[in-house]
Amino acid sequence: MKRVVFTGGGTGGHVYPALAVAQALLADGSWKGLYIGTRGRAEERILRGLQESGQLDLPFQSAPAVGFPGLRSPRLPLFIAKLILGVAQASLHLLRFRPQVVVATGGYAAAPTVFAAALLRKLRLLRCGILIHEQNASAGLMNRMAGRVADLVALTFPESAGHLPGCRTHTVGYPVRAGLEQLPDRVEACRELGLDPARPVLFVFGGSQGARAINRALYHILPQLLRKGIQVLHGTGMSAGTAWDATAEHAEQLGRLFREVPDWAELAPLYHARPYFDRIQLAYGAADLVCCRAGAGAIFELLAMGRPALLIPKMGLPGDHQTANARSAERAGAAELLLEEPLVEGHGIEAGVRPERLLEALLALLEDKERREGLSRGARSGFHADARERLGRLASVLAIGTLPTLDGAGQVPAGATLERLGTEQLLQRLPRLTDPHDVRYVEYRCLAALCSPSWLERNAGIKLAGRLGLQDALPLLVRLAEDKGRPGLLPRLMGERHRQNGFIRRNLCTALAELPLTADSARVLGAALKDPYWEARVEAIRSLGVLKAEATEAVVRHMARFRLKGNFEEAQAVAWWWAACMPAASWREWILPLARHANCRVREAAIRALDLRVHGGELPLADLKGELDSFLLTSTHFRPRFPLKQAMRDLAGQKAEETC
Amino acid sequence: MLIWLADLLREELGGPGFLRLVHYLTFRAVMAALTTFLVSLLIGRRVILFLHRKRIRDVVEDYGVIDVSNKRGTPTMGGLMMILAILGGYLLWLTPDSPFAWAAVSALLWFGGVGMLDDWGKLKGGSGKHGLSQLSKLGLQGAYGAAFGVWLISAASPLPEDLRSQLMLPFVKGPVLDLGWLAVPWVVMVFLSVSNSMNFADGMDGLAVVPASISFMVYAIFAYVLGNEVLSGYLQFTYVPGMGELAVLSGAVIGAGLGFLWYNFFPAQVFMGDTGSMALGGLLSAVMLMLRQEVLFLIVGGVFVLEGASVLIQEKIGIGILGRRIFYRAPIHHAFEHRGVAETKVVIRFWIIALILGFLGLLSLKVR
Repeated sequence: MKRVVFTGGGTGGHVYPALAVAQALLADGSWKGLYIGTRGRAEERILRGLQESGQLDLPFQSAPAVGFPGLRSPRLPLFIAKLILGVAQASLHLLRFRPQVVVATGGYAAAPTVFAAALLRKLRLLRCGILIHEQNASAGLMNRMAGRVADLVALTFPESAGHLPGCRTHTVGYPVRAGLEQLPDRVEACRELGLDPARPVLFVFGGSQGARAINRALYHILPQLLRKGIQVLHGTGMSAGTAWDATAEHAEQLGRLFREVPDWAELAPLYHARPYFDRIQLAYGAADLVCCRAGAGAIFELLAMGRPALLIPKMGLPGDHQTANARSAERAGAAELLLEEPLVEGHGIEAGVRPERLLEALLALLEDKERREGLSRGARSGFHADARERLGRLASVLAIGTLPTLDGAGQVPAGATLERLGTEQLLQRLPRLTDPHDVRYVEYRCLAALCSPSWLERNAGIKLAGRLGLQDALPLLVRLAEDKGRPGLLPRLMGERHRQNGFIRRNLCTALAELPLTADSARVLGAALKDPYWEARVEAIRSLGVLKAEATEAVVRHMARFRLKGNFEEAQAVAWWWAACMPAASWREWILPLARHANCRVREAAIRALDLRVHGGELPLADLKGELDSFLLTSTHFRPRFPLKQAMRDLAGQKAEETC
Repeated sequence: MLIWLADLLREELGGPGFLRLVHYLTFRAVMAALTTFLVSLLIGRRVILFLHRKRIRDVVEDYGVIDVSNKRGTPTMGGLMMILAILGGYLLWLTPDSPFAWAAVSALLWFGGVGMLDDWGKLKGGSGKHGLSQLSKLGLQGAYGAAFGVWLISAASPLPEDLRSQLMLPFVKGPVLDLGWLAVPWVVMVFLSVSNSMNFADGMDGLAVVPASISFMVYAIFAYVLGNEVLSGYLQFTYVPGMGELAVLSGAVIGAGLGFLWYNFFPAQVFMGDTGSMALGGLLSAVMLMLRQEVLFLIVGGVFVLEGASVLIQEKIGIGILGRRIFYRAPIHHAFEHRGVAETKVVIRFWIIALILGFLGLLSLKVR
């Protein structure tokens, strides 16, 4: 009898794949299994349920674990203590059970068992293989750590390999539950669901709890869809929490449609909404197109059945894993992707889908049969439902103490690890991104960052928006600029009055210069001239010049004040602004007073401004001649020349010189 | 060492009488300075070539200033040259049984070592971010500071009992406050702030070494006074026998500093690196703590105070809390550079300021 330990959990998403493998392995009675998880979490509940109903003979043992709180967290000592305790307890379970192989499916609950197994193996107290399964395209923290001690990390999406440096990886897919692979016949399914098989069917759902963003957008576009004769099958979700009550909102929206849409009575029979589908295969079987979230399990089931799908990943999850999954499916040509964006809702901002974009994406797919069939083909060829058996085989091979021979890991696409990067890192990566899909993803992250509660993220998002020249960001940028919120207590005590701190206000002004001039941005830049932070004012002056914004009376008044009373950076910026925005003839008034400015960099800027006008043909040099001797030309600044370095540069170029 | 040799020659073998000179502090201090200066000059080129050959070259930290590009690749860790010269010159002229001398040498070696670790990390990592982490750097410096503080207030301290844990202020006669065991954290704080300020000041060619030498010059005079029965009596300081040893040490540092400056002023052939700045900072802290004149550093080392404070305010208050800049740039010398004052001009102006502040510090000898 071979023995196997399963571990993984914390959330249900990490438990089900382990159970699917357990079903496959334990079915023929040649294996004995044990599940080690965390007490009181999803895995215990699910396991106890299965055991009581006699569906699966898999005893449950617990080892304490908590999620990683972050390196700087005050809860870090507690985490370390729990981890040590967990490893000790898991070691006891392992030594008592003596498994030949440990199968871990990620989540923090797996950490004690995997590390205990690795430790016991190192101490030669236990001989067992360690197999890890990663569900998401963007690998979780636990698996990135544990992957290094495992014999093999099995992947759902080939992209994960890029997130797991130093690990042996092999793509197997997602172990779906037994019995889900069979797709019912379409006509049959339609009949059971009460749909007309002759008409196209669109299936929209957001998981068992429902997805508020998808639902909202769908209610908006329902009349347009139904008028085209499309039957809409809608899983509204069962969420009834305080944050969002799916059923109540559904009722409210139906009432609104009934009141506001004149032909609703004719359309209503085409709309089939239910909170939940007991047999989701029926809905998949009936649908011509599925529109849903991008959790690894859900989309894998869907794609393995060859259903064309429009995926709307949820924004802001750890490692952006839903987007990573969806992008993997898109890359394989198996699904289309619609990214969420931050939408202004009343006073707050919420991630959501713009209804018109959803309608456009849905109609494009529903009206193009060839495109749907292309997606189906892509899904069938790239996603197989045999991951359960493949994982079982890998576990068997590891159990006899050998490493399976595997084909090469394959090429990881360049953009596959973007999801893991912070916004600041995306900014640095940007020049190297060529794939338009990747650039679109960075745009999506930029919009998400602009709404982040962390100022560092917002700041990076603003810089990114400028660098991308992202026009969609303009409303959010304006919103940030006009945010009058107050900062935390400590900054307030030190005299800061704005929640959006100085760096943010400064970089906003810089970013606006990269976007086309609108009335909004001119207003924001004009207001920034009164900013208490000098760098924000300087960037506002510069951006007004770059955009060649109209020099209104108020702007000119501010500029005149900066020129005489501002600090040197302001005076410098005013000279540049003058060169871009003011009539050349006003040079006596604007530039000449800077001729004896105390700061040599201001005098330099003044002369450069004149130079621009003269060489632009707007100002004849002869006019200046008499006044040029009023410039104070002694300078405290100089730039040394190093002929030796120049010689090396001439020979080998800048790069080589830097290393010499 | 020479002091032993001279005594041996004179007493046992009846050597010439001028050998008595080695007992005169002024003679030894000047000779130490000359020796370390000469040693610096002699080993300078060799050390620079050695550092270059070993690829120990600067990786520029970008403060967003006008241009730093033409500094890249300059050999760094030139502090090594200073440490070697100080060791070579000072070991010749010290009084071998003076605890002051060995305490100072230990500070030099420890802080030099910490700086070297930091430099080495930066070189290996290829950027300023890869040196010792802020925490481990402070930890290593603080550990030495704590040990030094305990030694200073313990029974093993060479200081007279009524001076050990007393806080002295410049321009005030006599101690103002008995710190008791709080003297230990106080000493730690002095070590941390002085050595790190010195590190920040070391950002332009010759900016750290000259003001540091000036500080040592002032403290050398203090050491001479405190260690001289007549002078300390006249100026109403507590006489501490053997304290004059620190004047010899300071002389050695000044000599080595000038020898280093020979190669380091604009355009620099070598940078001292953290090795040099930490070693100087640690040594200076040790000297002024033994002299019980650490508060005077606020005046004498005003340049360093300015540098350290500007970084602290910019990084911790400005960027950390407010999310904005408070100075154009920090450390403060970069703010001047940003305003368009050339590096050489900033450096020499800082020298002038340091000299003036040094004079002010000397004023506190008599005006109390």
